[in-house]
Amino acid sequence: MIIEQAIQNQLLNNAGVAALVGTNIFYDGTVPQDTAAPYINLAKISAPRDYTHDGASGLVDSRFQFSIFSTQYTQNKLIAAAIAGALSGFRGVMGGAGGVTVGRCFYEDETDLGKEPQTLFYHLAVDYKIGYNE
Amino acid sequence: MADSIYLTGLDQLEASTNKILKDLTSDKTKLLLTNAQLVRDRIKEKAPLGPSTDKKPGSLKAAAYAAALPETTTRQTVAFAGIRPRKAPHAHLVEFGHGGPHPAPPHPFVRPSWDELHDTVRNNIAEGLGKTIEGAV
Repeated sequence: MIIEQAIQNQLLNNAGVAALVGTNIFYDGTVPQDTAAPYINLAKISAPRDYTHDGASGLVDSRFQFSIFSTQYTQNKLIAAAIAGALSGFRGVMGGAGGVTVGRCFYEDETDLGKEPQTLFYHLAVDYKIGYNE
Repeated sequence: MADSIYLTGLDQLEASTNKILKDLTSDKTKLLLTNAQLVRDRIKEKAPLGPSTDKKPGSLKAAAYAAALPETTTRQTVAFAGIRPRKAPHAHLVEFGHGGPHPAPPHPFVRPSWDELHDTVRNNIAEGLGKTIEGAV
């Protein structure tokens, strides 16, 4: 299982997130046409690898952006809080059986990107630093 | 007969301490600026060029900047590396993506630059300040 799928599963299995966005959590850079808001688009921003004198350590210090889109500013904030409930401070196997071993998961940053003029969706980007074993 | 203790070298100690403070004040702005320039150069490398139909390809690269402000009585030394918003007001849309009118996923270039370099920058600053202190003693 790749880390993106593990994160998606972790969010889908969280009652708070599921209640707000249902199954509208995407990670491949695209959102299906006519997807109803709210939804979360997940993107890997960076993933520097760690090396030792013996070679690659297998540890990845990645940054993920969760782009949250909804019709209400306050709903975005609720979704961000629900994501934090599912991810912030998480340690262990993420994504269920066959998942990814995560050593740390920190809520790193939050950026309000305003109301988009065409879609009229509010956009909130939240960043997490997730350290995992590949 | 009472024992006596004489302390010597206090003048030199005071002079060295003052020199460390003076050197640190002047060197840390330069040190932070040098490292901010390192981050700026990486941002410039990673900034996407945009489509060939773009009126001004390379505007993100051209808008990358680094600056440092020296310490004042009310502010610590601070350095910046980023994109000048007046030169590239669309930078955040490229970095974070947007939903319309032509939805685009994020094409991050600022945050990955920092993620790649923050350990190097931290080490450079620690090393640079260490050298300044050693040089002043």
